[in-house]
Amino acid sequence: MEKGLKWEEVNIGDRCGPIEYVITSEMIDGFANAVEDYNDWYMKGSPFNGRIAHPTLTASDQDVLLISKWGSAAGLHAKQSSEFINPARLGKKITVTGEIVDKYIKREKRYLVLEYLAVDEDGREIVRHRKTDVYLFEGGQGE
Amino acid sequence: MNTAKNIQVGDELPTITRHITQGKMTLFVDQLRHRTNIMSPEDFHTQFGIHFDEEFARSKGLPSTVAQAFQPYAYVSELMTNFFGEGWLRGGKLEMSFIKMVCPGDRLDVKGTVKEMIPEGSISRIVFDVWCENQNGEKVAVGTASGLRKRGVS
Repeated sequence: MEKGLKWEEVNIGDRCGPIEYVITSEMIDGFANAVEDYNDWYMKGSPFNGRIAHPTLTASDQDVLLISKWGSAAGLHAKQSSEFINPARLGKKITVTGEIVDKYIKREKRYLVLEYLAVDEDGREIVRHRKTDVYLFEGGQGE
Repeated sequence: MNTAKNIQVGDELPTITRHITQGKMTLFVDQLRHRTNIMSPEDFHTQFGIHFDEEFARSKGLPSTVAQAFQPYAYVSELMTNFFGEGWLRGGKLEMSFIKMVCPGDRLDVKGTVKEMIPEGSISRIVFDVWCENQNGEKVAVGTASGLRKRGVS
């Protein structure tokens, strides 16, 4: 099977997800090690009733959303924006859903824009993200 | 300088410096694996190999492996968490464009300067110009970040 997100098959309004996972101490520790950010609120405890995850941990869920729907991510990461609404707490299940909100061609490059929202098991909105990718198409990505 | 009361437009935050190593890049990709159990190891390699497999990255026309853009994005978030605390985690906004690849061996300086202060009732939204620049002084990511801070709270 040819793998890959096909430009002509992705449309504004297409939804992807949900994906679900629980915030574990291994996730929090792994992210902290990767970015060398050992804030006490991640590593020990916070004013939010226990340890929390780095606020950008959910950002890369975009790749997972695209892969879960179309079999691959889109391409070069051009832009990213996020609104941090609440911290993601240790032990909480996170559900992430996304929607293609724009698709355009500019200076002969093709762009896909995905908005995605992470919500915890209590219905608390955690982060709203918006990612713009330059669409590549060889079945793999390059950020 | 870190109170909404006494900061001024143009003030700079203390710079964060990160040395980009293949080890850290690989750790960053690895933390994704727990959310990509929908993928076989082969597909994971196809999708993310440019971040940890140099030969694969070169086969894609890249000079070496490249860091995920979410790495500098996380560093800027750290800069903002250090300044705002809760006002970043509840009310922070970050917007960045990624303009140059980041490779192993690069050093990134993560910087922010106050751009604007917007009163919102008893609090202020403080807007920063933020960017990451490499050891050659080239900006690799640029954008704006803002968060909430009670006026006069240190």
